Amino acid sequence: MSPIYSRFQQMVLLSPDKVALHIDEQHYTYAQLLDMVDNIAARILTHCNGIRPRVALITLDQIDNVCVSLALAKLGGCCIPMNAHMLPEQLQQACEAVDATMVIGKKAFIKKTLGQTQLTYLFTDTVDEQMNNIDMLSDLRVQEWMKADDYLITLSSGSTGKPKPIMISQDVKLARAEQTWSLYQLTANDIVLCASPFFHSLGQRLTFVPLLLGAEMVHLSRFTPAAWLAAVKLQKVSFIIAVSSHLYALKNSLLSNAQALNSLRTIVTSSAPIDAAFKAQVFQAIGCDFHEIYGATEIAVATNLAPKDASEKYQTVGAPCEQVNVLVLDEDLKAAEVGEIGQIAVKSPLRFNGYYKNESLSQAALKDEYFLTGDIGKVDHEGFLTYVGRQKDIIISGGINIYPKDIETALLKHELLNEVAVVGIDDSLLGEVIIAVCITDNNNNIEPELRKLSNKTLAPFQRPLKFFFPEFLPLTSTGKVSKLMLREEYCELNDGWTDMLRVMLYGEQTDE
Amino acid sequence: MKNERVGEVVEYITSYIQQHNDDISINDGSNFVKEGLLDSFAILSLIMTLESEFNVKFKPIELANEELQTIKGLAQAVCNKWSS
Repeated sequence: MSPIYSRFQQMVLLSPDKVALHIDEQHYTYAQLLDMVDNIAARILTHCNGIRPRVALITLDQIDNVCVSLALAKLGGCCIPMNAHMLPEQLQQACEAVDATMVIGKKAFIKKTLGQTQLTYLFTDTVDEQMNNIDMLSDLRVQEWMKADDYLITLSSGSTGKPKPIMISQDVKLARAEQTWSLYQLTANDIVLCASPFFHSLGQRLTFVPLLLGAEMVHLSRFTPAAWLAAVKLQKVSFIIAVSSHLYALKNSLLSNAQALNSLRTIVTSSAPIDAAFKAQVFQAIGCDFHEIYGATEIAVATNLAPKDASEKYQTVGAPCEQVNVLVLDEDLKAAEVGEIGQIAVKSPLRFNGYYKNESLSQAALKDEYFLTGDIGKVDHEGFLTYVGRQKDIIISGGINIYPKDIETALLKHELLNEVAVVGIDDSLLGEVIIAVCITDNNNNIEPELRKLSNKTLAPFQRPLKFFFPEFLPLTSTGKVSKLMLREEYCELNDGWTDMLRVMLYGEQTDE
Repeated sequence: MKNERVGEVVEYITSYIQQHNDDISINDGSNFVKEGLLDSFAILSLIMTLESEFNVKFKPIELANEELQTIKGLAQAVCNKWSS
């Protein structure tokens, strides 16, 4: 029996005619969604050749994401949402990394992107003439598949290198939704806005949280402040979790549109240090609560800064959630003193089920049942966690995890490039932007060639915004390239590199 | 000379957009921001690529002009910079 599908079925039985999902002008009731889910489940079972379906879900359509993910829950299959903006080669590598057996998406897109492969293709915009009439729930294969613990695999990076496939079971996925319902006291009367893509763990969370609760989900296919404001106003949205770049873009609009936004009850922010004074202003104007959270795909939400603590603890990301323990560890992985900075480690019943086919990495990520986040922080004497930064060499731009090594590998294919260091530079719009610091003996300007190489071999979110050509790279005392020193040096140069994007997307004026 | 090269830049931008959207039909007047032809990262990458390829520099305020969000308008702006 599928925990996710059964829960969804219960919601359908409770309110079949209630609208479950709004996507732009389209509206789907719970009963309509169930019909579509059952149909796609039957098609998957017909086409899977008796093998447990491991589905690469490559689509820009949220209705496909909803229906396929719930259908795979029903079948005990594995759902692997992928970023449809990745390049064909990257998508193929990702399919191989997770042993996908089937690809689901729109026909023209999949055929154009992947071409001929050994994988079974199932298109959501075509109709099967023949479908086997199988009682799925009593099918012995389905019962066997249901025992697997990789219902959902989130790829931590849309990269050319090795993506980290994070496995989550149906039980854990449901428990994570329950955590969100409890943390923010959500009910079936809530209307939840999702402005994040489904390949991102936040997009998945904002899909399962409303649909398994019998609430309404409003999906924004493309985020703009105007579309966001219109959706909140039209659908009377009550609950959102916003990524930092969205919240930044919305910051001015929230106060000037306060009257139209009075349906909002709770705004949750993650890794977006919005100052306490602004939160208080929004609370006064709209009357909604702000929560700041800390977490990771591997552990779900670990800490929550509730409104009651916001004024006193505004510099923290809150206290551990129920049944969650947070420790800060020193370099020897021993518990650090109160106030001492070290690696954040989290013990949670909502922990992931490991990295797919990488037992050693899964083991290395744990210390006595605590997940080693790779983030740096400190805990105060009342248990409130302050997030300081990241230990791992990773860039987060626009909410997407990006691995510098993948970009460095791609750029080093240029024959005139001797060495390159890719780092993330603080940016008020995207959180971080990518720069490439390049070493070459060549006196000619090779930036245009490097940009061509980037445009050809890297996904748009991986392409460096700026290239620099100093004489040498700074080294640490042990002779390694010091990315810390590079970040410090080049952060100072960012005088509004993404202002052009802000102007073009949001119509914001800049000083220059 | 300037106008002769507008066609070249139009072709360059069109080819860039098509690289990200195989199946769509676009013309010189297509607004790649409003029509969602490029995501945020691809827009940034386009502007930076044009600056580097054609040796020009845009100020953010210039890009507030919606005309520069069309293929023809942006190509024209690149060429105008050569003569200014």
